[in-house]
Amino acid sequence: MIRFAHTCFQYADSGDGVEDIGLHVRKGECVVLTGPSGNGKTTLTRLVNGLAPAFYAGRLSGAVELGGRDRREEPLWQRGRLVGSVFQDPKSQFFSSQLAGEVAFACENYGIPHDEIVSRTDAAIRAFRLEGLRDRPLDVLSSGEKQRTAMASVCALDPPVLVCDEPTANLDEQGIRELRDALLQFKREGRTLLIAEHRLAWLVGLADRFVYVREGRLRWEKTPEQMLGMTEEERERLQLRSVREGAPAALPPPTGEGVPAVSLEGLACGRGRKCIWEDLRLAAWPGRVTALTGRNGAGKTTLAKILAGLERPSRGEIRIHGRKASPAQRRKHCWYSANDTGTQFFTNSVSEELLLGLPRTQAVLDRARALLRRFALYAYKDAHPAILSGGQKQRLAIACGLISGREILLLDEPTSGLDGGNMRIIADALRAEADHGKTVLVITHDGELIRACCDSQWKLE
Amino acid sequence: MERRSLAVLAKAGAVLCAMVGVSLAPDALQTWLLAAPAFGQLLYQRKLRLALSFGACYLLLSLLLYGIRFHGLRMVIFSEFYVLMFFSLMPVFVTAWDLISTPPGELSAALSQIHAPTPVILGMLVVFRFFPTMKAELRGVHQSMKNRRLTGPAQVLCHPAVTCEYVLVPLLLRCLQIADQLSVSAVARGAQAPGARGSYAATGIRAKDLAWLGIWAAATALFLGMGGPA
Amino acid sequence: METTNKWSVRDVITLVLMTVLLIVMQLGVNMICMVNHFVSMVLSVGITMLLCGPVYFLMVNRIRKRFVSLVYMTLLGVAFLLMGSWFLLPWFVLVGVIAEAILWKGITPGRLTAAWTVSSLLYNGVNLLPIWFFWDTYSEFALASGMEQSYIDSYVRYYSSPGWVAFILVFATACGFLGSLIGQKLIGKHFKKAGVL
Repeated sequence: MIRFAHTCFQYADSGDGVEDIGLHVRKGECVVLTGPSGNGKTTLTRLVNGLAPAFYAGRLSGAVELGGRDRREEPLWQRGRLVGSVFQDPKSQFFSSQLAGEVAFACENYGIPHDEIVSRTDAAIRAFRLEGLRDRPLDVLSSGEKQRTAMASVCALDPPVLVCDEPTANLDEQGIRELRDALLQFKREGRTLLIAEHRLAWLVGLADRFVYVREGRLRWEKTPEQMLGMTEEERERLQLRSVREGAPAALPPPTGEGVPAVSLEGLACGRGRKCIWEDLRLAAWPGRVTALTGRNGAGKTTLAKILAGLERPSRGEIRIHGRKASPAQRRKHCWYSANDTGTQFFTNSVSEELLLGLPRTQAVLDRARALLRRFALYAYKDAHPAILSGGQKQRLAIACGLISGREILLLDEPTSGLDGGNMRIIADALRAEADHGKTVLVITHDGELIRACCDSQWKLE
Repeated sequence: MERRSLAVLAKAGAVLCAMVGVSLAPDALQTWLLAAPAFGQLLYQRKLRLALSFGACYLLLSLLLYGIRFHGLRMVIFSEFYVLMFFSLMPVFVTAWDLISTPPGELSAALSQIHAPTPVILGMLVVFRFFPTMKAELRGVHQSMKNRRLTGPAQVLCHPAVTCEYVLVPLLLRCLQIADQLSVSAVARGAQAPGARGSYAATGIRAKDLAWLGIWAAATALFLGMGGPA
Repeated sequence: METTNKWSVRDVITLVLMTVLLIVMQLGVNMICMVNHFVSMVLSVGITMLLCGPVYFLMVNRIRKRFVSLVYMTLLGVAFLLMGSWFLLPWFVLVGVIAEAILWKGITPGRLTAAWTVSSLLYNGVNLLPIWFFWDTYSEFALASGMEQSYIDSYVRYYSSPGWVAFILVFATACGFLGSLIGQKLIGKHFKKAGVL
C-alpha cells in the first residue's frame, strides 16, 4: 500500500530530512516508526500524507508510492481522500466549536452531497462513541475525547490509509485505551496504519512491525516479540521508551519527618457551580519526589496552580514550612512549570531566559552556565527559545525553575511527548534536586517517569 | 422538540435591517422600536438567558439616559454621549450577537449556499476559533509571568515597555504557531479541493424565517417612515 | 523570501488570525479609553497605533503578499460599520488602498514604516470624520443624549480648535512612527531569530 524506495527528502529551510528510505507497508498492516525526536519520523509521515513537499517545501527524490502509484504530480487535496492524518495536539486543529461541524469538516471540503455528509458524519460519531457529546463545546472535552473527535473527522472520509504523528502525546491512560480501541477497529476493517510514536507499550498487540529511525535513516526493523525481548540497556542506548506495560507503580503516599515543606488542609475548589474537588489533604517533605496522579480532568493542574499561588482555592488553607501562606508568598517559594511551554518564554535567547529577573552576579552566571551544560542546552545558549524542540523547551523551563532558587518545584506533565532519552534527563534532574533538599511534586501519567524518579505517589480522585 | 432557531438568512436580514434603521434613525431615542423586534427574535428562539442579559444592559442604559435627560445626571467617567450611542445601537448588538452565536457549521453552510469562495469560509471559521484560543493563551502568558514574578506593580510601572514586550511576543509567536497548525489541519483534510463546498447543516428556508424577515422589513419601514426623512 | 501573489491556505489563516487580533486590540483600547474623554479624544488613536504597529509589521512580513493591508483595513471598516459608523467602511478601504500603493513596489522596512505612519495619521478619521462631516447629526445626537449646547461645545473643543487638531494629528502620526520603529526592532530581536520570518 505504501512503498518508499531510495527516498530522500530535504527541507528547504533547514536542510534536515530523511535519506535513502526503503520501506514497504502492505495493505492492512500497522507499522510503527520509532526513535529519538528530531530524527525524521514525522518527515516520513508527511511524505505519506503529502504535506511534504506540498506544504513543507523541500527536495524529494526516489519514489513514494501509494496504492502502487507515485502520486507526486497529483494535487495535495486528492491525497486527503486516500490518506487520513491524525496529529499530536487535537485542540489546535479544530475548525468548529461543535462536534458535528468538526467531524463533517473534511467531507464538506470535498463537496460531498448534503445527505451523504450527514450519513457519514453520523456514522463516524457513532463509531467513535461520541454520540453523547454533541451538545458540548469541543473546548471542554477531555483530551482523549478531542483526539477521538479528530479521528472521527478523518475517518468520515473513509480513507484506506491512516498516518498518526505521536497521537498519544497529550493523552492519559484512559485516552490511550480509547485511541487503541479505535485504531484496532480501523485495522480490522483491512486498512493500513503508519504510526510515528515514542510511547511503545500501548502499541503491542496493534503493531505488526517496529521500524527504528535515526539521523534520517531506517536503522532496523523488529517484530513485537523482538521488541519485548530487548534488554533495558539496549533500550536506553537507543533512547527508546519501555515496551512493556509496567505494573501500575504502587508507591506509598508522601511521608516525612519534621515540618512539611508544603501542606494543605481542607482545600476545595470549584468553577462556577461545579465543584472540582473538596476537602483535600496533602503534605510534601523536602528530599522527596511525589507523583500527583489521577485521570484527565480531575483537577491536578488546578491544584498545582493553586499551590504555586497562580490561582485561588475557594476554601481551605495552604501552609509553606508550617506557616500559612498567601498566593504572593507561595509564589516566592514555589515554581510552577506548565505542560505547555509555548507561552513560558519571554526573552530572545536561552541564556537571557535563564537569567530573567535575576541579579547578574558572578555566582549566578556560573550557576546558569553549569545548568545549561547539565541540561545539554549550552550549544543553544544564544538561540531563541522558540526554535527549541519540545524536549529542549521542557528542559529549559525546568532549568529556569532550578536557578530561581525556589525550594518547591511543581511540574505539570514534564515528559508528555518526549522520547526515552529526554525523559531520562528530566527524571535524573528531578531526583538530583530532591537529593539536594528540594521538594518536588510532579503531575504525570507517565509510568516510566514515576518508576525512574518518584518515591511517593498521591492520587487525586 | 422542533428546532426554534431561525435560519442564518433570516438572522442576517435582521442585522441588516437593524443596521440600516439605526444608521438612518431620525431620532436616536426612538430606536426602542427596533429593539422590540430584536428582543422578540431572541425570545421566539427561546434564548432566554441571552435575552435576559441584554435586557438588563438595555434597562441600565435606559435608566442612565432617563437620569441624564430629566434629572441632569452627570457622570465622571464614561460620557453621556456613549450612553446614548450604546442605547441606540442595542438592536444591532442584539441581532448581531444572535447571528454570530449561530453554530459555525450553519454559518458556513449558508455561505457555501451563496457560493462564497472557500478562503472566505475558512476565514470565517478561523474567526470563531480565535476567541476561545486567544483567551486560553492570554491566561497562559499571564500565569507564566506571575510565576516568573514579572507582574508585580513595581516591575510593570518601572518597565511598561518591557512588560508589553513580554505579553506581546509570546502571544504573537503562539498566534503564528496556531495559524500553522490550523493550516496543516485544513490542508490535510482537503481544504484546497476545488468546487463548491458541501454542508452538514441543512440550509432550507422555512415559513417562520420568511415571517421574521417580513416583520423586520415592516418594522424598519415603519420606523424610518415615522419620523419622516432624516 | 520571494513575493508571489498566489495565496495559500496558510496565508489566509494567518491573515485572518492576525487581523482579528489587531481589530480586537484596536476596539479594546478604544473601549478602555472611553472612560475619560480627554484620553478618548486626544490620546486613544496614538496609543492604539503604537501598540498595534508591531503586530502589523509581523503580519505583513510573515505573509509578504499584496493586499494584506487592504484586507485588514477593510475588515476593520466592517467592524466599525457594526459599531454604527457606516461611513468608516469606505474610509478604511481608502486607507487600505493608500497603504497598498505605498507597498506596491515590494515590502521593505522603510515602505512599511511609511505605510503604517500614514495609516496612523488617517486613523484619526475614526474621531474626526463624524464631527467634521456629520456635524449636524452629531450635535443633534449629542443634544438628544441630554448634553447642553455649551457642554457639547466644550466637549468638542479638541476637534474644533486648530491647535488641538494639529496636536492630535501630530501625536497619532508620531506614535504610529514609533510603533513602526518598535515593530522593526522586535522583528530583528525576536521574530527573525525565532525563525518565523
